[in-house]
Amino acid sequence: MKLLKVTDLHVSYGAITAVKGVSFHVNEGEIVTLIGANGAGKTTVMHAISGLLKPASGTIEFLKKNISTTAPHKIIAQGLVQVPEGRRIFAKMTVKENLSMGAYLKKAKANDYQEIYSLFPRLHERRRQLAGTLSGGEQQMLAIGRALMSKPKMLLLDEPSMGLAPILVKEIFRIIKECNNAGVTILLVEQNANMALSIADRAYVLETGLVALEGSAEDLIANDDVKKAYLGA
Amino acid sequence: MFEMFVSHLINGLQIGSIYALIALGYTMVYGIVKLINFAHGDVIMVGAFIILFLVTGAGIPFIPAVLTAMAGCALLGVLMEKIAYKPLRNATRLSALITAIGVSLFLQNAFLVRFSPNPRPFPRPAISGSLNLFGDVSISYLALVTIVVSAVMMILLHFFVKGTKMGKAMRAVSEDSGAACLMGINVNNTIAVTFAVGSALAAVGSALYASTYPQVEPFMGLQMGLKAFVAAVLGGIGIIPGAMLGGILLGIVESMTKAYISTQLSDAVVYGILIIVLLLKPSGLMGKTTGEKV
Ligand SMILES: Nc1ncnc2c1ncn2[C@@H]1O[C@H](COP(=O)(O)OP(=O)(O)OP(=O)(O)O)[C@@H](O)[C@H]1O
Ligand SMILES: [Mg+2]
Repeated sequence: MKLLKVTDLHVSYGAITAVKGVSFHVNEGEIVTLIGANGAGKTTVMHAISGLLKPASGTIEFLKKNISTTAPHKIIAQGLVQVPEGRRIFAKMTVKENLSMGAYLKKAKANDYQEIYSLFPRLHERRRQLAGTLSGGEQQMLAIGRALMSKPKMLLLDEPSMGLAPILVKEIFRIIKECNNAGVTILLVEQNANMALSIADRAYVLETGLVALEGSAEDLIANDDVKKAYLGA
Repeated sequence: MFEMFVSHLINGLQIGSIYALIALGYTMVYGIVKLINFAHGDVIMVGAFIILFLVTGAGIPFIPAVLTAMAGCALLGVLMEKIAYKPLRNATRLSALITAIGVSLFLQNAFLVRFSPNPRPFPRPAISGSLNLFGDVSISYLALVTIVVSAVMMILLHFFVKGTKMGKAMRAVSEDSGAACLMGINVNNTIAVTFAVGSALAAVGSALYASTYPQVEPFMGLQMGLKAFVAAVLGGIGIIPGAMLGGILLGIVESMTKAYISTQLSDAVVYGILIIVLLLKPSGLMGKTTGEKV
């Protein structure tokens, strides 16, 4: 079943059109990745899906309902949750308070925190610490943990590997895979195409606001253009 | 000598705790939408008029009248935000600031036209007498009530902001409204609640202020609003404990200057201190030295 279906999406910032007719879909249970260079429009697509930006035209369907003009908090209530680019944790709140914000619409139970802590033991050690004092990797874990607190059906991740050491990147991707195995559908935006393609089922390549290429992750890894442009080969 | 000092200190605490209550409204709104709500002082004036009409006109007892004024001012704050500020949320800060001044002038002049500039006596509650503390030092019951009511309000606000879901939402929106949105927080509602809470506190401040200086007129919010704004900046605008500290400090400095230096100079000293503090620590006493965020 197509859980998320984006059709002919256009998004503008004033006079600048950043996304010019993007279509893609994510089936239930899949990991799909959107790869593309800086400024290709990946974050813009993610913001439009979460309702932070209103599309100029096109539709975004989640669970077969058009959500392209739905308020962000209603989109989240339906189980479509985003881990934003740059983590955007609440620096002046404790780790635990950050997690509780993730469950804002639900009311967190002790068990919900436990689940996150078992996924990220580091967060448990630091639960009383202000989130602003965490390292970059820990902040990314917190951002993912916070999103998982709402028990989403689908997780949107915008460049979760940004600025992390290779060993941490591996760890983050392992956890993304683990969430997916637990039944969460994933849409992953990445510049680290190698890692993204290694865990994804399917991929779309975005170039200046358009889908330039799409296919299974294996096909794209083998594709010469992709190799040249994104895999540094 | 010492006894005089203590009684000036009590005077300072009395007026300072009113400054603090009103400063909270400036600081909470600034924290969440980065707007100096210049019309906040006029909310005090509207609150005083509401209490005046309820008590003098309708014969309602003082406390229910204050509670009604809190609700009325909360509504006024929400309407102000929805009508004047919300449409400008993505505009430049200067446009928002000018709009705030416009809202302030509108309220003052609307009340001027409707109710004339003549001051009316405020129906202050009959709290007279004083409590002997030690020696010759006593505290008037009015001062005691003012300080206690303000303290209770601030403690309630503290628990609201720290402990409740809405309070956490307010902190989240003030830190990063986009991220708060992604948590499922209804940002518009959270901003409206912030205006409501700040304005309701101003209504309490108004009742306490007018009980001390019992005159109600359309421009009464100007002076008080300005002092409370200074208090908020002094403590660090956007920081709730900063507004409390700034208000109380300002009240004490003012009272001491009036007592030991000169009554005429008290405003000059107050603004002088503000300038010195801002030169040394631009983000205010409790502000972080880096950046200007909340
Ligand atoms: N707030 C904005 N106002 C105007 N233009 C914007 C804004 N945000 C993004 N853009 C423009 O839209 C285009 C797409 O930006 P977007 O952030 O979606 O790219 P991206 O693919 O996420 O890039 P990156 O990999 O660097 O995060 C860019 O040309 C960018 O300059
Ligand atoms: Mg981006």
